[in-house]
Amino acid sequence: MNPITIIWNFLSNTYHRLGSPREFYTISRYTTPVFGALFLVLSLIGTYFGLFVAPADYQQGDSFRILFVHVPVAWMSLFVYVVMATAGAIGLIWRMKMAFVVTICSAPIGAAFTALALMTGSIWGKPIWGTYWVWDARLTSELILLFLYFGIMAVYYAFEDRKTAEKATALLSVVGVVIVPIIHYSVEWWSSLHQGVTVFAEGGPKMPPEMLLPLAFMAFGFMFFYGYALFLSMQNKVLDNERKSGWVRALVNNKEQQS
Amino acid sequence: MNWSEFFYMGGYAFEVWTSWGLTLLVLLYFVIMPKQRNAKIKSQIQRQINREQRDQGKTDS
Amino acid sequence: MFRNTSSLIQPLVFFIIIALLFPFSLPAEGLLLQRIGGGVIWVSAVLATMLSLESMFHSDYQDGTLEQMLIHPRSLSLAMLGKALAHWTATGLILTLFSPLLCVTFNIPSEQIWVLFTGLLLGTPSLTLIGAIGAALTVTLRRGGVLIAIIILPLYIPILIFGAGMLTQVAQGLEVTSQLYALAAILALSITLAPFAIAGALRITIN
Repeated sequence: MNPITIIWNFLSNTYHRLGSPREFYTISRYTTPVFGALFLVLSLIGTYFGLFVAPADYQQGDSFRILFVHVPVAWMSLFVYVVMATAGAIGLIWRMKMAFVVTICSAPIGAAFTALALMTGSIWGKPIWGTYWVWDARLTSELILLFLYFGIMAVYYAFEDRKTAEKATALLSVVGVVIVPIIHYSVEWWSSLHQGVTVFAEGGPKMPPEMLLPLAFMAFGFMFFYGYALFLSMQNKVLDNERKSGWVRALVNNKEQQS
Repeated sequence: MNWSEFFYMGGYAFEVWTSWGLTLLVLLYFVIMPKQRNAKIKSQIQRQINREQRDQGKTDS
Repeated sequence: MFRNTSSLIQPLVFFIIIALLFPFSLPAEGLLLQRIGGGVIWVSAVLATMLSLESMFHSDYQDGTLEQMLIHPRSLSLAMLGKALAHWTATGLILTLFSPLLCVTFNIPSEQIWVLFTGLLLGTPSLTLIGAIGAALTVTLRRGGVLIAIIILPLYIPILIFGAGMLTQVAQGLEVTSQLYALAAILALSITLAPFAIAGALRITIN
């Protein structure tokens, strides 16, 4: 067996194992702390290089250091939505209930990242642009994203039957995914006050390495934070959903007897 | 390392520290809240189990 | 939908009333009204459409026709496209046809009326199609109206921006072909994709 087959088999097995709530819970007991540790390490490194090492911008002075939280949370607001919608699609197509759990647990986290992106951007904008807000394409579409997240959460809690709620939420998240490319390309398609595409530009990032490095560390760190927060939330949801099942009762009971 | 200069952030102290602070607070929330909820769910289930065992005991005897 | 004339008149009445609230509540300067007119008429069209969406599937759900449609072997998505078309002729189309009259109220010069008219003509079918997704998701809920608004308003905003933005641009003497293309593109996407989403939503929420 060649290495690719081995890796593929491993990924495929893990994917299928994660489809079972009980297996997911067991796996997450190990992976969640790993995610948390990676988040801490990466973001501490990024924070150090971003706040202490990177030289001040010649135009914006030290205010540009907001970039090291603003850009990662903005990227995460899109990343979480894509993961949420993909999980929704997987759940609807392959009837995988754990996929639905990913969808509904991702929504609050994504909404928080979106709100943070808007707030940090607004705080940064006041001294630099002279205004807290402007109705340009990038800011407007990010605001739409926030409303989409709210709508998705509202739909989930509107239904009494959990299976209907899960599927309706998944459908809505898939429908709304059109906003993600709009947000990303908004600075290209419209003249915008917001900074144009800098990192994902054609021909490579238009950013000096002293800025790019901490940014990359923060971005990947936040990605692991998403994994960490998501798995914590999913553990709760699984316990809640499966509370009548034997393994959950045994888990809770044994823990109680141990302590 | 001039700490007062560092906190001053070239005049942009409010903007930089509010942004970073908000981010930190939100991240903390998404760590603390699930852990609290985890404990709450487990205690709920435990109480349910205890209730059922008590009822079981009553019907047995 | 055509069962009683009141359901035909209602969206139109909403449309006109909401739009007319603005000249009443703002200083009736000709220039001010002209500048906000496009936006106000578009917002009124959006709100009137949204108000009419709640009842789109309501009567069919109540008398069981909807469940029959779900069991029927023929394509549900195609049926949904037809239903959206029917709904649009009773709402968006009528609003569009009456919009020139409102343009007069807002002092919009006659050369610009076609901009609003075409924009509404291209945009209102998308409003119906996208809104129907929300209506289908909430058909079984009692307080579905507010939820429809929360769900579909974010998806409506791009249409609103393009449509109303056309009037600002043409007032400055600029070309509006890009907005028209954008509205047409949104319409093309809605016609092809929304029926599947509507059908999917119905299958999810009904039994």
